Amino acid sequence: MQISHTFRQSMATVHTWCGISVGALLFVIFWMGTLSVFDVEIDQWMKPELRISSTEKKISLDDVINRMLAIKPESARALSISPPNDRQSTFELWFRGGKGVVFPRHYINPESGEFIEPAQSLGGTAFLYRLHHRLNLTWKNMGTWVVGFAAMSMLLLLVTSVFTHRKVITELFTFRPKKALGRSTLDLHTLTGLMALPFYFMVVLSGLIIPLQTYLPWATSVLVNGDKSASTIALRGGMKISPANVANNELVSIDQMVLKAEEKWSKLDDGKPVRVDAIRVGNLGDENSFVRLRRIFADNRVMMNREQMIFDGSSGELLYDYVAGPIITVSSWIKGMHYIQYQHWPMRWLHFLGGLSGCVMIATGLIFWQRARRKKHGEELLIHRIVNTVTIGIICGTILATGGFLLTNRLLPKTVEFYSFDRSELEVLTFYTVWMASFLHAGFRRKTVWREQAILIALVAITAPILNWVTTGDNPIETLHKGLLSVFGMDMVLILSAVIAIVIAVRIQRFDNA
Amino acid sequence: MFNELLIATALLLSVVGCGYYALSQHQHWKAVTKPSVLPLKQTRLQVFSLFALSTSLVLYIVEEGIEFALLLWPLSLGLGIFSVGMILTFRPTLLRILI
Amino acid sequence: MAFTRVVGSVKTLVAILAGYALTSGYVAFLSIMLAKFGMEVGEALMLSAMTGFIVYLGVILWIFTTPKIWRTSIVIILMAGVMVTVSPYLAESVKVKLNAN
Repeated sequence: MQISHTFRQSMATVHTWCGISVGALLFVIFWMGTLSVFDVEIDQWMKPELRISSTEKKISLDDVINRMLAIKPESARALSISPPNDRQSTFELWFRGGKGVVFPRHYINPESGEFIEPAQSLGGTAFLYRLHHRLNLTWKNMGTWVVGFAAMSMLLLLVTSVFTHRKVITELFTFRPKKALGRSTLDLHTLTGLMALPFYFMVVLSGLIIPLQTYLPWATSVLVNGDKSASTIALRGGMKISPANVANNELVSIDQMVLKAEEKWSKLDDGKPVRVDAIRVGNLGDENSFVRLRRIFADNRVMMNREQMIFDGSSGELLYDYVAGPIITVSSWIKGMHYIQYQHWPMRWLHFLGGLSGCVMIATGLIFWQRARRKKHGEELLIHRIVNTVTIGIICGTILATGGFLLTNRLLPKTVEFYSFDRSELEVLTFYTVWMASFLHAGFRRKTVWREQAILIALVAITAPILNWVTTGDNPIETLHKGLLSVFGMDMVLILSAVIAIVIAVRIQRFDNA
Repeated sequence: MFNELLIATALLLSVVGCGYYALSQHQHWKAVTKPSVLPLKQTRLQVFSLFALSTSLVLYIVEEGIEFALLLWPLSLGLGIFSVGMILTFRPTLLRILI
Repeated sequence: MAFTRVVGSVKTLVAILAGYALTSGYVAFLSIMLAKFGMEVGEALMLSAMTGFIVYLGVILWIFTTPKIWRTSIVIILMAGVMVTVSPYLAESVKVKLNAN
């Protein structure tokens, strides 16, 4: 019976226990988050109809809105518009109904004004990104809570890790791959962990701050006597405008409103060019219709969501002019740091690499613990087989499932239905099926699992760009020529992943035999 | 073009700075140099390291503004640590260029 | 061995639940205090909530590293209880200006 722990030992214990409890979950969240850095690019890879180079001549907002209003469904109350930006050159629009109902998205060609009909797919923005922040569990925000729990655990892991080392600085640069597997895995875990510790801490903290109203529903509304919507408005700006239930279809020129907003906000930004990137027309067809303009993801700064203007729809009168206060501005910077939507490609790639190193850190941590445990106990008990299966299933399986998701997207025809599953649902089904298969594979083939799954990953990763070429005619040389850098980048990353997977497969015999 | 060059320089300086810091640790110095070479004073190497890393930060602030620099610099520092770690593992003699 | 596991589990539970209670109380209490001293509602809420996560982390670390586990747990639970109970009453006495535009 232990009576006293030294500080370092208690830190190590917390680190280990916390790590094994949430490590697998953290890997999935980190992996999906890393991919989400390029979610728009993944969308364009998976929905080739959206691969349109940016154009100089654009049709006007009012024109686009009128085209949308022509196909307005009966129950639609508001219309959201996302104009073209440096990553996506199409207009993206969708209607909203009452009680949080969101209608499917529509895309409009910025030059011709025609609707684009992409193949049905959830893609990066609607599947991978959602897996990242709420694991696709939407019942009462359960997914967000689980991710939040994992995030707090991660903060704990990061802090405790600093205290488990005796010689942090000397160990910092040490990586000894030729030594015993346990030692080299630990080295890699330490290296990837320490080198980006501030990054991981800020990414996780900012990830917690983004849905803070979900995490602290009571605490953030006590000040306003329990009024949740007042709390939302205080934290994010805005104004509650209820419909008057009097019909009035007049809508003043929104282009003019956008110009006014951009002019005013440009002055706030030392005269730099400014772009309104989120427009919502609310209370459609009503006397109290309004147009809300926001600058959520500014191009040239990290801060997001600092300015907001609301105009009356039928008269064009300015109803609300908001610029965030100092503390909310700081929080916007922190949130912006997590969302990475500003126009700064070197930074975006560094974030991507940081995310990947985080995945390596989590994976090596799990592998190291598993090996150390097995070594300590000598033989292989059932519990070790289960842990081994889960580890491989999570690490290799998640990667493999993502690959399967991409491949299915290229293999399925544009309209397909199978037992009432539509195309996007079939892609998701493939993802989960491959994941399950990976677990089963890991459970039954103990000796050569790592190598086999690595080879499978390599095969999938190299097939994807080939299928892309076959089904869309876009190969890396052509996309580079056409200026479709998103597709080029995606194909390149896939090819590189295949190469890395093969290298790992060749060197991985030690994992299986150790 | 000039902008990209400055960022590339700042990134390189991060790697160099981390390299000098690694060299200031005795075991890494031994791994890099021939046994007959006497080690430079640890503090001098750390000063070089500090100089390289601060110049990197200044370049980021000048070129990108404080908002982006605050994010870029720690990230490029991480890249520096990783690169130096990998160089020390696979081709330690490459770091002789710094001495 | 089994005893330390039980202790560890209890500590974890206390850390998670009491920590959350204290964090909620802290955020509520601080936001009201800041608003009383003239800070805008949104600013007060945001500052309290952001620092709240750090406070939660601190509480968890405290529980796992303190040698006096009983005393610490009681202190935390008491603080949580006080802040959570008192805050709604304090909130009523603060005249809050919303939509100050």
